[in-house]
Amino acid sequence: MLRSRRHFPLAALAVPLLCTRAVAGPLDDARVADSGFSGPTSGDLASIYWNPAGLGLLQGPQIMLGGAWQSTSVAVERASIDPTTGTSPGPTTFPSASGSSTLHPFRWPPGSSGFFAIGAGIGHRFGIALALYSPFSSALTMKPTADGELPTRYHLVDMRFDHTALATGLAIHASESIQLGVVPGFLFPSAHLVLDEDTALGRSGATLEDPGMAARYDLASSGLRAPWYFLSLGAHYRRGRFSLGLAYTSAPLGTGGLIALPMNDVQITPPGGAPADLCVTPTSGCPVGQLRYRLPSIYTLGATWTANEHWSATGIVRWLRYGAVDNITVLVSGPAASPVLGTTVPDHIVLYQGFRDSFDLRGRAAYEAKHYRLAGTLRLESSAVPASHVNAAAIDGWKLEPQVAGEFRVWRQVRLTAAYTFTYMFPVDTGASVFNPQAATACAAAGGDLTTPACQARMNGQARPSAAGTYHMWRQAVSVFTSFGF
Amino acid sequence: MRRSSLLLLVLAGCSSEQVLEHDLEPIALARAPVEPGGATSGGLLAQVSTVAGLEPLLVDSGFPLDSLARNGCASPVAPGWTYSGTLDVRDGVATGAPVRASFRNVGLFDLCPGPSGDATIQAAGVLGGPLLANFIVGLELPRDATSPASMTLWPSLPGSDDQLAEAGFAILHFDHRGSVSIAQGTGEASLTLPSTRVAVAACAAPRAFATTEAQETCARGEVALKASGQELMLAVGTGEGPLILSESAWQRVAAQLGVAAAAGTAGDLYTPFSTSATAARWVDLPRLALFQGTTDSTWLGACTELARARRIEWALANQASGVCFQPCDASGSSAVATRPYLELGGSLRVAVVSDSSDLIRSINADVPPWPEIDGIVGAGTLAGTSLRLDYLGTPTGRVIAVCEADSTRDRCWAAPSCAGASAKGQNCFGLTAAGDTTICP
Repeated sequence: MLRSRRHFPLAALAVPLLCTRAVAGPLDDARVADSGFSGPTSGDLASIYWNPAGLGLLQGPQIMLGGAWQSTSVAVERASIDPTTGTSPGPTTFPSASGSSTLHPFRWPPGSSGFFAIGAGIGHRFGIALALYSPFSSALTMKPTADGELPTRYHLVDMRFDHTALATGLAIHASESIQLGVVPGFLFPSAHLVLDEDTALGRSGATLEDPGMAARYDLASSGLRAPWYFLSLGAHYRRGRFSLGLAYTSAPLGTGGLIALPMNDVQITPPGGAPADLCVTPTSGCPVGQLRYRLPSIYTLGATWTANEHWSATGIVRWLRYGAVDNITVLVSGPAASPVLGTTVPDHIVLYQGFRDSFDLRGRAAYEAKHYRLAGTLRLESSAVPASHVNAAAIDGWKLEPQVAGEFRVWRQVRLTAAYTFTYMFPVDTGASVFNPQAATACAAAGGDLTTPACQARMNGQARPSAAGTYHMWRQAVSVFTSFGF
Repeated sequence: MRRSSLLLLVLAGCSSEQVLEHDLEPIALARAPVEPGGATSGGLLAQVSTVAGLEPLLVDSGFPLDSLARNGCASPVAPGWTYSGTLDVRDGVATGAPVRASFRNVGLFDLCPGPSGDATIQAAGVLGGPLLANFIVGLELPRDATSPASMTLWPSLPGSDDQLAEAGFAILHFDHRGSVSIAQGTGEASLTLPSTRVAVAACAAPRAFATTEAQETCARGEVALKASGQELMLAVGTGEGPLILSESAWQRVAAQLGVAAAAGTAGDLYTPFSTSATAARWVDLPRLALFQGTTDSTWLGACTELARARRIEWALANQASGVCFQPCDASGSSAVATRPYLELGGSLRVAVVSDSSDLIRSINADVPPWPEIDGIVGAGTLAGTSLRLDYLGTPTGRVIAVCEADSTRDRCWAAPSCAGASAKGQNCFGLTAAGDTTICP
């Protein structure tokens, strides 16, 4: 973690714009409000996510309801390790591991992969809207292999991150061709994270990745917490057949993008123990935790060229401002009388993520007729995670994603949109993993000296079992949106 | 000279950012003697590298500024004023003194604190309140003077007050105090130090208590009458060793104890607040209970709250005998909530110093409109506890306290708030309420 920087006031003001970092993995959900037709130049209720200025193009009252069912599959082929050093290669091999997840709107807290918005254009001068959606979501459950092992256990067993946004939008017509919009919003995070900690780390001569030395951390938030705040700003320009949209969505405000999420449902299973081991007595309390991570800010730019009354082409670029180095920090406290927490099992875990900015490029061609629209989109997204930083909790690489979508006017102002998307991530070979368990040993031998590379690695969360291997990911998504005009 | 230093400090602040680099592992700390020739369970000492080599670095939550003498403290070179520099906090115990935290581009005062504990322990600087206030500072203060203390710097602490209380922690809220303007000389430009001092209420020398004693009765309206001990307001100073009291405060405590105000042994107190020894009178205090430093509409004072908590604990401990809660501790048909407290016992060393001493004047520089601080509770007095100084808590800071394992009640007792002693199943004072204890008529 653990570099905190404190700026003088002027610098602090600039932080949200210039210095936003991210630690929580590639949390961005590219399917939010993605009907296959929406974007920063469209003028529908999805603009509250894409570009608030687009709300200025609304005509009359509207409701938009929809969501996506997303199924993600991953496969991990871990490189062999030497159990005495934890580094690759070595005599200990791992079977191929697989994981999967499904995101859909029908769960609590609401919002994941769902979208609901209500709004209205007022007198061709204003547009207002209220929306519920989840701009950042991520989920993955790793499955045990045939022999019951979890090769990725020290990086991930199970995770789910959701961030439900409740946002209000306002757009105004600055001129005939220019709209400006703003969306202040609340962000309600929730999370569940399960992983193992190798308690042999840092012990000279210990066998690494011995399941018998693994402590299981299972942390979950409960209900909706006090919200964080974000702000989106946007501008929309239209002249003739050309439209241009530009938007900025902040990371959580006032914290530099940091989310400090209470995890009230915490179970820690010490090596060979039971979860109750950390609850001294049933009435004396059990551990409580906190998850600290950051979310990115996002810049979005889109342009649409309407060739004729039927055909249009749209290009969209999203710039996700992840930081260069970051991590997730797990903190656990209590109960006071526990002889285990802080001794046998750590009361904190730092998980290195090491993200970098990523770019999401989309090209779209759309055909519009009187009663229907059709669109084809090809999306290319760069990786937010350098190859050597990839692990089961942060699987990312270059992604190619074709999408087809159709919209039909069901009845008067009632429209139904459906889209199918397939995402293919080009396999990522990590090469030498940034995770180096020997750093824990070397740091311990150095007395925790932060001037040594080993202790810098431990501080950053890199002194963990290796994640070297090859990672595969593919995803299918079906989204359905319904819009009602009045 | 000073003007240029100030300008440099401001420019440094504008052009570069403060970097606080640390991990979440404990930093081992040595401890100074509580008093000259006394047990080495006093002021907390890390190490720092100066031109003179490795020197002690005092870790003092009660010190109002951060300092590092650039030329070391053995040098005859006159100290400067302020500068923007790096403070590397090194392990206070391990050979080689590895760097365990690095604070870069931070504002530092170029001055040496006074010796710590005895004349031989001269720190080259102080990791004081302003830097510590960026963290939740976890402190392990073993009673065994041969064991090192440790400090862990946390970015936050999981758990609400209720959750931590359920887990056994006593949560003592405090307002941040200590903001004061200082200048190097008369008529010169001044700096304003931030409010970082931890001040808590205390009850000194309350009577002994055991749940096996006879029940103390207390009719409605008598709650204050049954209190024992002397009310104090104390700063938490981890760079100090003993409990330090002003002469006027000690006179009140002595009256409570029934001992002569002039009792004790004359000696010296070595404290970072003064570069020379402070004349002190050393006495012993049987026990001290620390409470929250904040007040609210129902706050009765530390000694009254202590007496109430003890009566309610007594009733819970003896509920099987059909006892009842005292009327003065009831609201309607239920016992009122008790305040969390940390009671320290054994023979607590106290240094009584003049009200006009540098130390007492310094810790009260911000008095209006705050209540006067009577002294400092030092690391030696807090030995046997595990503390987390939560400077980051809002709206008030928190001292989160628990006794070290295997503590006996007469040495250390951490009592979380008990907000439901009348409710069945409520866990208070390590006891589970049966729910059938009534209010005495």
